[in-house]
Amino acid sequence: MKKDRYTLTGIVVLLVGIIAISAYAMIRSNYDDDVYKIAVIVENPGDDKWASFKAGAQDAGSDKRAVVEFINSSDISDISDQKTIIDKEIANGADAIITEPVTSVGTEDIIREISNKAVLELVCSNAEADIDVEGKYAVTMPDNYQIGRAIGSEILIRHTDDIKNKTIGIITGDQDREKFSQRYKGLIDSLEGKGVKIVWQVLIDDEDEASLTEAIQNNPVDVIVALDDEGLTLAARATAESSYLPEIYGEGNSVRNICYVDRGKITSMIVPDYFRIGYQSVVSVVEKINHKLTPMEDEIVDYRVINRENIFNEKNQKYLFTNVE
Amino acid sequence: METRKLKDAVKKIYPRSIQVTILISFTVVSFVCMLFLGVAMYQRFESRSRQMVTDSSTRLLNQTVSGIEDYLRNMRRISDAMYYDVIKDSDLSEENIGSEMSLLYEANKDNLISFALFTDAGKLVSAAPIAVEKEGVHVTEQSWFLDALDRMDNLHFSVPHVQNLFTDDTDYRYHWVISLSRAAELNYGGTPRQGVLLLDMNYNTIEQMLKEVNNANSDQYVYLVSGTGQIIYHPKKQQIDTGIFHENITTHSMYDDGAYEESFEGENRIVVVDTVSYTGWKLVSVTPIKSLYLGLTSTRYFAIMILSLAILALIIMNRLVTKRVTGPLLKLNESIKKMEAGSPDTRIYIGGSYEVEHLGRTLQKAMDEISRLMKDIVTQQEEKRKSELDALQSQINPHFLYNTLDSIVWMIEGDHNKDAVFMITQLASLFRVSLSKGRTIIPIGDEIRHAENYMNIQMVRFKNSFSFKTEIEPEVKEYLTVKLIIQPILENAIYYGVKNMEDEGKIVLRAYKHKGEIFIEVKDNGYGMPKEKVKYLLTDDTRASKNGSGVGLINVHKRIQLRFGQEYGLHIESEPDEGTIVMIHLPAIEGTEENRIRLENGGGENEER
Repeated sequence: MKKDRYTLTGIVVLLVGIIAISAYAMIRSNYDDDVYKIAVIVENPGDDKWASFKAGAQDAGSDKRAVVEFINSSDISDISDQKTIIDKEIANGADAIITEPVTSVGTEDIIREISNKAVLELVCSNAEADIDVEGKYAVTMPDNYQIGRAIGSEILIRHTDDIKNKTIGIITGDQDREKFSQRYKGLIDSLEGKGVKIVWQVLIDDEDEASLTEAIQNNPVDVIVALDDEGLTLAARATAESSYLPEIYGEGNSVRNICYVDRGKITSMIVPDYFRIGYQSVVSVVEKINHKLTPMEDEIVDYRVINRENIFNEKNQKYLFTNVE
Repeated sequence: METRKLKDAVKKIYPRSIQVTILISFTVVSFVCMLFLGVAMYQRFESRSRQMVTDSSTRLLNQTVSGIEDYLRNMRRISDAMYYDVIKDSDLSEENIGSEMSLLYEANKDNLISFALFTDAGKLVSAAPIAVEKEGVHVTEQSWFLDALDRMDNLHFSVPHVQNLFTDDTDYRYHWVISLSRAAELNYGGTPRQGVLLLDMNYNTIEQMLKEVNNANSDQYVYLVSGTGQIIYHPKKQQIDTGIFHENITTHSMYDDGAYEESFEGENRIVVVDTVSYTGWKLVSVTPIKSLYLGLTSTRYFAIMILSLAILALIIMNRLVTKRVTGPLLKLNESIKKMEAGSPDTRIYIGGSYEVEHLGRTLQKAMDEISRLMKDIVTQQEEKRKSELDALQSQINPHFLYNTLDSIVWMIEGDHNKDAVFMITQLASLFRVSLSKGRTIIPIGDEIRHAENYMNIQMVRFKNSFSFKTEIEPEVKEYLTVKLIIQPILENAIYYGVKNMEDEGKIVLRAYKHKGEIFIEVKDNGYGMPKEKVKYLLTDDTRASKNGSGVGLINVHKRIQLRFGQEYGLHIESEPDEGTIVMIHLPAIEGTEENRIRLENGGGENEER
């Protein structure tokens, strides 16, 4: 009899436990259905070059029940500005931060501090952080070195027979940013030993057209390479006024630059999959929020080589024209 | 071996208690019924939900298809208007249809990107809005152009594409369009020529139409696919193009109109298909079945919680019920245990349901009866013991011994030595039988000898004032009896029968077997007694005999009945002045050692038989 009583008591206790646990889990799952807030902090988010990225991020936010907010950050001049904006967004309740690092150098402390307060994802460019902060953030970006090499390859393809002694002008950005340093390296590595001459390099800061125009006019070159979308646009605009028409190659994705390719002003353009960068960065941070112990993983996205001949083929037009006009 | 171990294990955990057995049975039965009902209702609910989803999707698709068809019909009308009302009536060698085209374009520019007419060689005849043709664009290679000339009777709707015909240096925009193209008969100064009329519809219109349909906050979505499996619109078009998301497009584009259930990438879905006229496009509604459960995770936990609550409630309720049912049984059981343990004054529990109450009452009666019988046995044993004790005491009655010895002394003094020897031998024999080595059960022969010894002594004492005769059937002597039953009767016959008679008193001792029973009669011709006195002889036990053994008739009667049963004992008949007959009725128990020992130990007459 006593044994039966103990068994019955045990069953009742077990059932009460199950009821309590499932009630708690049910309430928790309702909280789990809450919407996350993700702040995206990039330079000039309203610029056309971010259109595909935005589309990807917004679609991912819709799929993963997250609110993706693009923070107006046109005044980011250095890392401390960027950090200030990030801190403000975290204080406003952001669960995750997606950002393109202003500089890649000396970012360990900032990464460490931010990742303790919110989930952190870098896009388009990596940080040169030491081993202590590995695992505290992840990067979704194209292979910037390969982009540089692809630009170089396009030049070589079009000048198979006459590459030697070709002169090149390079429009670049701050070499402390990983993307520029890697693209530059890739470009130089691909052209090494081919007999080309790098005549000038212009560092574009805040669309400083004047220095570029001067360089183009004073030192005419056969080829201009721009290592980012802004540089490409500036190169196309600047050469419109010049007395000669150099070939322009570079990395870009804005509709404006696509238009320049379509019109023949840009010879060839390397277009990374910005839609995927936007989409996957949001997915990555949401996964981290839901599974705090699972380490974040980097992702390298593809790119395509676009020129006048192939812009409008079926695959490329879907790739390039993500926003309906 | 394994089976036995399993059986032992099952035995160990199988409940022994009636309460737990009933509780578990009730709970299991209730739970199974609930589960069955729950599953049946769930199946019904799910089937009904699916049907509702299918019906609502079908209605939605019908509405949306109507809207799309209306829009496409409108575009067809514009194309027809341009072709039949303007182009067909114009001589293109002389006339410019640009203004009419512009008018038509302006009237519908919300839905149009451009209007254009080309010759079959790909030369632009007219376009609206005014725009410059792009260099290097080969119109004749574009699919809308080829389709139009390929099947000239039809109007052709292309899949969405970016318009690649015109350029505008001031504008950096590109437009997604759906091209509506048709072969056109052009009139050049009477010479007919083939051409293609192109109407580029703004894809945004269709996109907005379908975005509105997909706006609801649910997992259901609607998309448009061409008959050849190319997406016209999909809410996750970008993700599909990038490879992030997959859709079962090829299969859906081949479905006929109707509702289907499919499994795609591990997800069960309800798919409803409706075809858009003119185009062969299919509008597809996809509803993941998990969306029917309205929040799968929390629903699952809710179901577990409810199930556990239900089982708990069942257990509590069933425990109350079983307690009510089995409680009285348990109390009954407890009271029986107390009784077994020998607790004094314990009463059997009487209560609960009718059957349990009846059981308790019957048990109590049985216990009372057992108790009474045990008391009777104790009393009987007590009486037996007392009677035997009395009888034993009679063996050493001092008066009889004193008087007999006195007689012997008198005989010796009177030199009647032979008489004295006779008396002594009779006395010795009497005492030998009395003692009988301490036995209570002796052969009837010994009892008769005892009686004869007694009578011989008494006759001498009473100077043969009465006669004594025995008529004993020889076979009777071998049967068994309780000792010291004839002598007290003879004593009574002497002292209350024949003593002081004027005539000669006669006492006859008879012993015979009749109808399997033994009868020993003591008959005297003495004073007798009235019937009223006879009645009390065997009941009035306060009258102790003064003159002989002191045992009395009641003692004899009781001892016979105690030993052999109520049907045996003494029977007395008497008539005043006539005499008295006292009959001893005994069972015929053969004089075996076995019977003797049994009777000594208290076994009755019936056991022997």
